[in-house]
Amino acid sequence: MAHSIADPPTQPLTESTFCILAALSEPRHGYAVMQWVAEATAGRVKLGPGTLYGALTGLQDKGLIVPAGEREEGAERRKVYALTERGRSALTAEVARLDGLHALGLRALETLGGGR
Amino acid sequence: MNRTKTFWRFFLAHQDAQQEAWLEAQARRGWHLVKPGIFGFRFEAGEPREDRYRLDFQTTSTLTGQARLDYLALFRDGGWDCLGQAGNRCYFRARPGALSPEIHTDPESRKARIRRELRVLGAVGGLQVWNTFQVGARMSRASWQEGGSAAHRTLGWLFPPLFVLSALTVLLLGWCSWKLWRALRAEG
Repeated sequence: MAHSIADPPTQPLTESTFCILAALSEPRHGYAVMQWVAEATAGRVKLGPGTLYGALTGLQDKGLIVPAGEREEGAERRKVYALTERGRSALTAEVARLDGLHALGLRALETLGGGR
Repeated sequence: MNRTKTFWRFFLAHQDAQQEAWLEAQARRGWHLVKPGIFGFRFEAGEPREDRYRLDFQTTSTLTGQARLDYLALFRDGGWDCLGQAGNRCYFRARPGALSPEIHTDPESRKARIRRELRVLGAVGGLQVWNTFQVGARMSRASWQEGGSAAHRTLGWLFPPLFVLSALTVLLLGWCSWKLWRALRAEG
């Protein structure tokens, strides 16, 4: 199904979805996504395989990512995924939303006198 | 040669956590799952271990063809070995050093998993309700129509127990669905 770039998801992304889209800033297979997310979040976010499989399937259905071939590593052939334009715009929109919230939070902390 | 043994046990659809705990208890006693089933579980004797078992419920489309290979490859990469499946339920055991301690690590995927199971239970429950009405209708026809067909006269006695069995199955499916629905609500 074709999706327009003008209609990114209106719902905020879940933490797992956000991390997966961020991991796919360059094409990666599922295992690399799990590793990248664990490393990038210093182990705070660990994607379980059930969660990752469901998220990858859902993101493909929404047109945010696409399969981008396979990568052979030893005896394993792993499916590689890449962001689509729609996925890139969803990630951009979410970063802007989080930026806004971050600024709001900093202002609130300053008001409370506990700013960093 | 490794000693194997089959344990007979039945778990209802909403009892995955109990099933996982039971499998982990067997592992601590030195019995390690090699083949799951609906009623019978085959275990292999070995050293007692602290293993982690997790069950996943998937759609048939995920469990066939290339989708199944992709699904299992992700679990294998994440450090979870598939020991087999019973119906649409897959049994996984974590290897030491698995990338995540759980197979579902966010509420959304846990809820999606419960919804998949509820959809299947809903479809089976619907069929079973229809079946119960059919058996009930035939039963009342057999008891009210004098004479009836030869088949009714011969097999008519079967309808009451079949009706009770069918109605009990509907109640059981309803109970499981209600428990799963509560688990879904608990996820927020």
